[in-house]
Amino acid sequence: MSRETGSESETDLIRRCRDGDADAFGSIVASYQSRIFATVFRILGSAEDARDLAQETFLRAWSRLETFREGARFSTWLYTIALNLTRSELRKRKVRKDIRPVSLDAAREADEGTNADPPDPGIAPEEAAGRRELYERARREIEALDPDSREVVVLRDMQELSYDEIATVLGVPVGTVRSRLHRAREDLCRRLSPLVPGSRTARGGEGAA
Amino acid sequence: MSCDAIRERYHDLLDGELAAGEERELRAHLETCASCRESFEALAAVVDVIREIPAPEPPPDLARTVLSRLPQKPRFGRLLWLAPLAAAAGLLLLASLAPRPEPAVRESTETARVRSEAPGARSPGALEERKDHADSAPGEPEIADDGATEAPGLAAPAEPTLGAPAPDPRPKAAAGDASLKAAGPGAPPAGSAAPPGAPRAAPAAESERGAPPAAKGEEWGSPVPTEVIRIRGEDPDTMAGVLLAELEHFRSRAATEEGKGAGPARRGGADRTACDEEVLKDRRGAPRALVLCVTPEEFRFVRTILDARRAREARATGSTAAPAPPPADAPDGKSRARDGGAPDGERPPGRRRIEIRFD
Repeated sequence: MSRETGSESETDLIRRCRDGDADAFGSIVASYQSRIFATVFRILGSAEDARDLAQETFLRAWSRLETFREGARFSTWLYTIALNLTRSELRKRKVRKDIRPVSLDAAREADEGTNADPPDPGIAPEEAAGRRELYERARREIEALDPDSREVVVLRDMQELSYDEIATVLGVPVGTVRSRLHRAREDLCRRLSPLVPGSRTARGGEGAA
Repeated sequence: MSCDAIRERYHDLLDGELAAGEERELRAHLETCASCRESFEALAAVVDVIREIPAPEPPPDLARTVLSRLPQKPRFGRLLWLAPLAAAAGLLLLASLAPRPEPAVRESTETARVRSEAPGARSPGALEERKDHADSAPGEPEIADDGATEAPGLAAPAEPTLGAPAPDPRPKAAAGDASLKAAGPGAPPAGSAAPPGAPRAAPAAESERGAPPAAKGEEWGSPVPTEVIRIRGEDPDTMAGVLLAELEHFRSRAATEEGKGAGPARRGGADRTACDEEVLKDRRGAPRALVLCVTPEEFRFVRTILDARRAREARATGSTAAPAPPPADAPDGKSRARDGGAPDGERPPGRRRIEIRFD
């Protein structure tokens, strides 16, 4: 795997890809597919769209390899392609900010009720199921963020890119990344902290926020 | 240090972005200020949850699908390799050829297998092999003759062109020539599994056989009725990719069910399409339309995909159905024939040319 053997090997793989070596590209896809798929899925909220766009990300990378500057970070470049695609897709959806995006995992959504439901105080936080519920709720809240906020939360807190990398991928200054992220986190905190155990603002805890 | 000012720094603290001195100062404040501590812990707990949300698993066939859609050389940009489509489609066509005499079918199948087992032989050498095969196979001349009497573009051009990556259908006069043909100006080079020699086999075959390539839309010397489906509001790249990938899977599954084996057949490049399959692009290289040659089952399958996307788009945008004009889906589809409308008999039985246009 290129990732484990270090960037040198990835450079070689990329060179081979430029020469049309599809096997080398296969290694690259294998190495990045989880990250790219996760990113796209987390931004779009749809497994089907994520599959399409993840494929598309790699196909574009292949066809635009000449434009990739050797020496630049390949992962950043891949993420940039992926984010361009998610942005196109989101523009197409034209989802208004106050409308929760429709996820194709509709069955799961239906089971958990609408986002308008108040947090269920009957779920004991210690239970693993409770934790899963919490993740689901958090995932939906992230999906409900406006696209700019969603991007930075996904890239920073979920995909763990550096601020510099995120700035490059999104084409904005680092300061903008920071302020968007901080606002997004505050927003999520307001919505989620009543549900989160270990926080004194959780219900049944010692004091309200 | 005011509590409001502190709040700004929580995030930096969470990210580990504070200098040692700053961090100490901040933590000291949190020790003593209950309300700040509470706020910080609430934020920290939420960010922890976000960071812990489990990552989704990519679909297991993601890499395989990407690789199967790679063009041979990066500089061909977004050309999608249609040979695996063509190969699977070709075997499907072969299997569905009821009127074919049995020996001829077997010969052709063996030809396909021979080709598929010798991927490295995609060269003039392989051409020789096939030519010999064709000459010696008693069925082949029969097919060529039959080509004159049967519906054009049926097996006559298809049989002799086994093993070719996406050949043009031959005009009747050239039916006797077993020939490899590039599929036209947009000829897709062979894909990931093919050896580098493969794309050159097509032009080599062309010159060897000396038959002129059929002009687009003029297969079999007469215009082919085409059904046009318009798609609006979708990204052409994504749609083209999705449709081709889905269709390829569909055809592989069908070919597998026919017992021919999808894997080697795809790589073998046996092409049985009776018309060009290609991606039509505009000057900038963006896909404008997809030309496919589909059986009724494949057509229904494509329609299902398009309808599902349209429905999803409608839900996502909160609008009623997108204003795409409903295409005809009768198997004998006569709506919007692009050229005049030749009699049904001139189309390959079971296969119909459709054009999916992206607006």
